[in-house]
Amino acid sequence: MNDNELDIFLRNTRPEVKEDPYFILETRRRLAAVEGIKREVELQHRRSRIALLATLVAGIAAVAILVVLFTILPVDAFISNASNRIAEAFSTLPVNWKLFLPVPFAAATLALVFILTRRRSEVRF
Amino acid sequence: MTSEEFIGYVKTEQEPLRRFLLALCCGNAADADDLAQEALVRAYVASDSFRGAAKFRTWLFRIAYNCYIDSRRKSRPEQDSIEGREALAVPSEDATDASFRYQQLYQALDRLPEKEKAAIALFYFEDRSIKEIASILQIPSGTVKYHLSVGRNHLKEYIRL
Repeated sequence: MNDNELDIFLRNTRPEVKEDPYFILETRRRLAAVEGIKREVELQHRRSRIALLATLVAGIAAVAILVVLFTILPVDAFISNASNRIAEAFSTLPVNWKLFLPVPFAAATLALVFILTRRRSEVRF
Repeated sequence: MTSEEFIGYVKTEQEPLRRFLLALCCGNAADADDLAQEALVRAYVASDSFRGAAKFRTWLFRIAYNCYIDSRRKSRPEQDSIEGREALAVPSEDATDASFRYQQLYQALDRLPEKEKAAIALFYFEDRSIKEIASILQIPSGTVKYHLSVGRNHLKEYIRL
């Protein structure tokens, strides 16, 4: 078989696809299933984002309450009522380390910004 | 892209897509259609990333070819032998001569390496340019020409009319 004969053979023996009315129907069915999965994944992402935000807000609130308590209440009162060294050290913490108090707030703010600006994850198969 | 827009594209592209996969699957129409459906689902999932820079058809064929390669990697070699298949997709007129020619074609294609088979199918059955084939197979144009040349030589050797 030479080049010409092969060319003619290939051009004349093109695979023929049978008409299949169910092909598009099947495609529609599969795309609908994909849409369903996409919606479910989106719902899960939203739920996890809400849970993350709630945890973050609760954490910030707890830290804020602690900071307010430490700031308002006198250190001496804590020390005089403290029954052990750990409580004593803990009570003097805000006084000794007050310069570092903005750090957790900054961290919390950064985390919040990260969560809010994070791009929605793509659904992968 | 909405699902209706996507279906609109599919309606125009389904025949060439299925024919391309039919050639790659060496006449196994059921496998070819399964792969076509899988490729369409993958394309739909990734349709947000399609920016229209490439032709839809080229993009879809690239996905279909990748689906085919994935399926070949998954399947066991003994299941792929063309002799074991019950029915090949031969034309409906079912003439003996046509059946013989298609059987020759599919058996010859079955013996070709994947890239040669894909290059031959795209060039001869889909009338694609070398540049388009290079884009679909993600190889340089020179390599496409090489695969076409070697594939032709192999086919000349395998096809006995």
